[in-house]
Amino acid sequence: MNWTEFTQAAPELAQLFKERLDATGLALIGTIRKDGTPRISPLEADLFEDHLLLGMMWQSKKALDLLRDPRCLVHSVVSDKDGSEGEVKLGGRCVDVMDKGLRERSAQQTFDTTGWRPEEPYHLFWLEIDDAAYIKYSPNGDQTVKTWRAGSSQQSRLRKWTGSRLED
Amino acid sequence: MNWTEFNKAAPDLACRGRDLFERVGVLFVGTLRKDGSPRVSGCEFFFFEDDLYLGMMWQSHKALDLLRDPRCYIQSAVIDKNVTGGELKLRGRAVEVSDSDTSERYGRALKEATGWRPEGPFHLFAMDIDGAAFIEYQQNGDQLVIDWRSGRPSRERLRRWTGSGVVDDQK
Repeated sequence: MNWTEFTQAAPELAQLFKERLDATGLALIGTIRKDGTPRISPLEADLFEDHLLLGMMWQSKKALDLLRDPRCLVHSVVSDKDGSEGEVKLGGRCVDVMDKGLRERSAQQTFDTTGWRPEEPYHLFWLEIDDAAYIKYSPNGDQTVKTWRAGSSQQSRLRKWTGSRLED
Repeated sequence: MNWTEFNKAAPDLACRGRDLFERVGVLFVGTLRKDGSPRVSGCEFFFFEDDLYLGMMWQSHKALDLLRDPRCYIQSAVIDKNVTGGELKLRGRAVEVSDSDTSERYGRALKEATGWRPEGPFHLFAMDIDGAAFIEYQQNGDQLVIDWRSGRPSRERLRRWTGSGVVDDQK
């Protein structure tokens, strides 16, 4: 589903991802290389109209990965060791944006907010979201975990740290 | 190769990598889920003896991924949109440490360095490094790239920003 549908299906997770994205404008994306091994790359991401849009430089490695295998994982950036800000993951597939109108409107939006306009050719994908997870670590070792998968409702649980492992 | 060997083969990359990892104190590991799709997870690390170690909670998803397929990718944490300080990537395999002496020495050294050590079972992996890259983004859009793969010397180049993409400018 697209971002708007995701915000309806799992509003709390969508809000948590949006907060993390708004803080930096940046995310990490995991893709699959030609040999089947994983790759991680930083990328700029924007929420625009109904989509989480991922813009990439023309012929960049991550874009070529996605054209070969659209499965990916978008991860919020984490900038401190204790994980107090929480981390959000969105799993799904990247869809190549072919709609010229959407490309043009999002380029205009980028120009309006940054003063810089991406010039064609460049890659633009929207994320088709299949699952999402949020994990936040407390100082005592407990984890707050929220998960969601398309077709189910969001699950929340506290995993308590026993000193050597977590218990649901 | 282990971290010490990597540090001999590509000292510039190893030095920048260690600084970038230690700046935030957490790195990201890319693993393969059962269905072959990618997973990205924050991960604790520790440099000890000759290796870069990844410590993981017992039965965590990323650890189970690596036990099934050790091929992985390490990415330094990125803190802002300008990727200040650059980014470092490592390709290779995470090799499970099954020797209890090494795990015990690791636990003691970690406790000494950080005041904390895992109690009870945990997963410990040592990185077997095949390739690495450092990328630094300059204000004019140019990229300084240093890359290396096992068996070759490292290579430094500037990728020049053309206004819509980058082209290689061999140094």
